[in-house]
Amino acid sequence: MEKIGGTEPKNFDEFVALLDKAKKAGVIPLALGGQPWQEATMFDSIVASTGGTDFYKKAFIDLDESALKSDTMKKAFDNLAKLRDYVDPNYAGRDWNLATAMVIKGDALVQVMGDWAKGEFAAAHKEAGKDFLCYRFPGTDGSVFYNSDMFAFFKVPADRQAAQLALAEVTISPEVQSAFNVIKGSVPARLDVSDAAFDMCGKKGIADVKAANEKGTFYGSLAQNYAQPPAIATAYYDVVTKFMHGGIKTSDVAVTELVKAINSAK
Amino acid sequence: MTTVTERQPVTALAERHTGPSLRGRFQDWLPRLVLAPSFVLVLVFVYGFNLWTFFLSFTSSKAFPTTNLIGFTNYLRLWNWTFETDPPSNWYTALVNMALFGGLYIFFCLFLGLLLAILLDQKIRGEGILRPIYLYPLALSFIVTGTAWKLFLDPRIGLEKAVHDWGWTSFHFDWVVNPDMMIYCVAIAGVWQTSGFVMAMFLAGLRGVDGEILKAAQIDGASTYQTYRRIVIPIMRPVFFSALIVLAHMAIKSYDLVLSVTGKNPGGAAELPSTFMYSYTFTRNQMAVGSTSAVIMLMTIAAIMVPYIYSETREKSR
Repeated sequence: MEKIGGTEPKNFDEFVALLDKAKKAGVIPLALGGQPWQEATMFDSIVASTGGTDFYKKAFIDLDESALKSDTMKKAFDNLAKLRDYVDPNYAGRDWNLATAMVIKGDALVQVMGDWAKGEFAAAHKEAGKDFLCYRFPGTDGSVFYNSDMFAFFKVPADRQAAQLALAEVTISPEVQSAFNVIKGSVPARLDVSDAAFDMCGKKGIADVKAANEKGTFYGSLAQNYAQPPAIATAYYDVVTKFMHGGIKTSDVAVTELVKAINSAK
Repeated sequence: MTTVTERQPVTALAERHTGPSLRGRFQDWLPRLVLAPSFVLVLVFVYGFNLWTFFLSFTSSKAFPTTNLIGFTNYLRLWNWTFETDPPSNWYTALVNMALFGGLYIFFCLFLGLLLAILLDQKIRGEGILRPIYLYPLALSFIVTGTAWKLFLDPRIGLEKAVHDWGWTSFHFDWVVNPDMMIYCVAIAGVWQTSGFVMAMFLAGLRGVDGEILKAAQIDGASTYQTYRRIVIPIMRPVFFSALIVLAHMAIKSYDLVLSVTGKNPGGAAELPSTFMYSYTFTRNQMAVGSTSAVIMLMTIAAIMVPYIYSETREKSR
């Protein structure tokens, strides 16, 4: 970032300008793994950045057809196409951690990924704030899209339920939440965990979640299957990945297809 | 005279009593008893569940099976999807890819297998070493093959980079990241894996050709090419038949190969009926659509295979 004289972008246009600077400096601007879920994860943020968090809610959580058909959605697809110009030609099929490795090694400038990517940086002994920066997707500061790790417990006879409760208690206890998330890179599932042990990115993440929760901008991520049932989420993947890889050629068609796919998956 | 007629009934009775002995009856029934468990298992788990899938295709099952019948709606949906070409629906892509991948896979496996078998049959010295070398790829699982080929064909770290490093810098081979050409890479990986197996089948068949016929052909003045083309290959029709059945079912079944070579099928470009069926039934929670696609797959394969099997087995018994 220092090498190209870039500053943290606050909206999508500044983000594109930053990527341009990186391209001129000879670095791959955007490290992307060309798998459907990664492209959809990025598109979630693009939609929120283009139309605001309320638009995201209307389109993806309420499934309002006028929002899905709107010009804002078209513009979001156009923005996705713009970002596509900044990925390297071999991005198709790449796994997410290989894209993170590109940023860690310095081959690429930016990756748009969930906060679990920080775990990769930590494993490579990189320090937040010094070796890498982290910020919400430009234009979405103030809202958080979430997914969550879960344990599913089977129904067992009463004598084994105590063990299940014990596991649940341990997992949700502040100490374990803090210790686990410091390593993994995510934010604890409870709001009262102290952020003392977290690095700069973790602290920002915890603060963001608290703020978003209070403001009411804490939404499930459609790409991570937290906003809609899988049938709709995978229909969404289809359209986004086809658009990225050329099966769908224009934003108009993409918007029509998105509405069609979501309606047929309902 | 009375004594003679009186004696006959006694002998007849004696014969009936010792006719089919207990031991003989047991020997008759033993094969059926031994096969019975597998027969029952196949009947229930293959044919029984085929019927269950067929039933599910008429329901509106989502994440879990229900018995809510909706008639031919799912079939109509898939029928409409078959003709959605721009942008291509998942089902259309799956069908096109099946034809491309299946055709290329079967043809090249048969061709390479036969070629290798004929070459190995020339009584060369290293045969004992070469044969297992050609056969080893079959020991790998499809996932391993797929991942290895994905890395090998990756332009940035694989073949293209290696050729660039050797000096030929304008070499391009980015098929595996190109949505239009991805399916051909899957075919390459599949052919690499299975042609050794087909070679082994053909080699066994070649060795089974009667030496007398070959000698007769030699006496008649047939060249090696003519011998192979007109005598040996027609004799090996049963081997072709078995190899075709094995290859066809492997082509239909390939699910892990597709996903590992293309890296989770970006752009939906490498969709095959098997990935389509799996994703709609288990990942997308649209079990009825997945079941319908499975039934259509079965009917398509049966429409091709059953006449072929019938014609082959009928000629054998003639």
